[in-house]
Amino acid sequence: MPIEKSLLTGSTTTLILKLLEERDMYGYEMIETLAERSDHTFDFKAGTLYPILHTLEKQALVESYEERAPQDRIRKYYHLTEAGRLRLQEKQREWTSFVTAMEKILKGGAAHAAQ
Amino acid sequence: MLPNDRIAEYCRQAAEQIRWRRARPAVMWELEQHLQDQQETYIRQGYEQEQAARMAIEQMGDAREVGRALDRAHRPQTPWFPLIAVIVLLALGAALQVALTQQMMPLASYAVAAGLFALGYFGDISWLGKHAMELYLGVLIIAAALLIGAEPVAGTAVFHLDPISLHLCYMALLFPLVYGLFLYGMKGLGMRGILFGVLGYLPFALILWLIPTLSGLLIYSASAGVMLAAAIRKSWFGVKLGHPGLQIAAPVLLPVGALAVALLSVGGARLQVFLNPWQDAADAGLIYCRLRDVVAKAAFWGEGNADLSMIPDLSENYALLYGIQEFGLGAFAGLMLLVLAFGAFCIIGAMRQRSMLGTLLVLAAALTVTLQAFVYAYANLGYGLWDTLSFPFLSRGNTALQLDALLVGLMLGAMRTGAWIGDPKQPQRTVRFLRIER
Repeated sequence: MPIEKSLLTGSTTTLILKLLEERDMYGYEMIETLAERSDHTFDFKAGTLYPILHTLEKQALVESYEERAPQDRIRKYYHLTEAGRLRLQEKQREWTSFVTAMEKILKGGAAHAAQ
Repeated sequence: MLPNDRIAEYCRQAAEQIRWRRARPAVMWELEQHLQDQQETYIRQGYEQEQAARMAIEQMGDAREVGRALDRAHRPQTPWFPLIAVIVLLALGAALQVALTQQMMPLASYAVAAGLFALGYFGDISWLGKHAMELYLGVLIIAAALLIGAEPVAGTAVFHLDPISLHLCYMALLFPLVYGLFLYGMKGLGMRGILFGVLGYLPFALILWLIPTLSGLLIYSASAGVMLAAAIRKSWFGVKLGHPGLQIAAPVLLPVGALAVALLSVGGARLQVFLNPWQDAADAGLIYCRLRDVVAKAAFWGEGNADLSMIPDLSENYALLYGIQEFGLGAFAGLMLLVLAFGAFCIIGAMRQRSMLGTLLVLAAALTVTLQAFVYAYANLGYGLWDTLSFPFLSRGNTALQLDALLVGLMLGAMRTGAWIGDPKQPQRTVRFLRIER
């Protein structure tokens, strides 16, 4: 099911930080992994990814390094810093409280209508 | 248009939107890598190369929109606090020197210094990293040659070549930066790198001891020690020293060793005079007594009651004392607090630099000018145990003024653009080391 763009805005950073919590990745790998894990619900335009990654790097939430890939191509990998890890925890808490509140309203609305 | 040309053209169009030109090549390279990966995926799915390139570009999004978003992420950050502090100090220094010398000539020196500051601030500091070892060896050879050709004047080496007369003690202001570049060249060499780090410190320390400038030796050694500690802490040599004692052993050894050498060079008799100058107030203790007398008669705010006519070389060696007499000890304390805040701000900024080159450059310059200011201040209060190297931007001393301006310009330039200065591409072995340590 396609998701309205505005719903994704603001969550992209959390998704990226979460991916990097597992392991270091390069940009293309992140796009592919996000699409695959979300059953193509999160099919980002790759062009939206790099400005976010570069901003995160500027904020020292991620850092990058270059490494030679198996096909002898040098790739730029991103690594989650300690500050990034803390920001992710904060974002996850924020998201959980948002979802809980949304569910209360949505379920409450249905229950109210049934009465 | 060939598929690869199409991809290159897309990257160029996106990068053109980034106003800060120096950020463009790295961005173009990263986008190109991504597009090639995407193109290969489509080819594996059975598309023709041309069609695969088109689809990869479409998947990336509109080039100009992507470029504009990247432009917002790539803006140099002006380090306002230290920048304003330097501009204020330069203006104060020019006014102070005109007042002290009653001439307009110092303004020409300050104009040149402003030019050198701008050169460092707007220059490409990654050039220094690319030529790190050549610069280290070049400066070492020139410094040794100048020392060999110099003559002793009033207890310190001076190189004469008409119309130039160069006090070699001021080279101490440049050596920490050059030593930082030397450490930069030791990347990934493991324990050998740390050993070379200590050995690479020695030639400049020896030159400073021979000049002799004990203040210079201490400033250089303390700066070198901190830079070595930072390099070890950031695993620059590719090894992690487990025990904290080991991490600080080599860095502490440099300044402590230099302090021991400096104290031994000063000698017991001078130390006694320093501790109690009134016992020999007519001779060796005279200047200490006069300086401490001016400070004792100073007001907290406003003009003091002392007579400065008895103090020699006021504009060069005791510019701060003039400030204490004219404006009070409160103004002096305010100035030193500003210097301390400047130093602390820059040292914190150094540790936040993305690249090791940025960290070392900012540390070298911040430590040099801050220590230089404090050594000068102690001497002005009548507690200096050895020579001084001018107060950055305020006291007279053309060589020091120009070197300080260049150093601080480079430092603020690194802080402005440091988020996007990358260390050179890593050899595979080093990368593996770095990744293991994370």
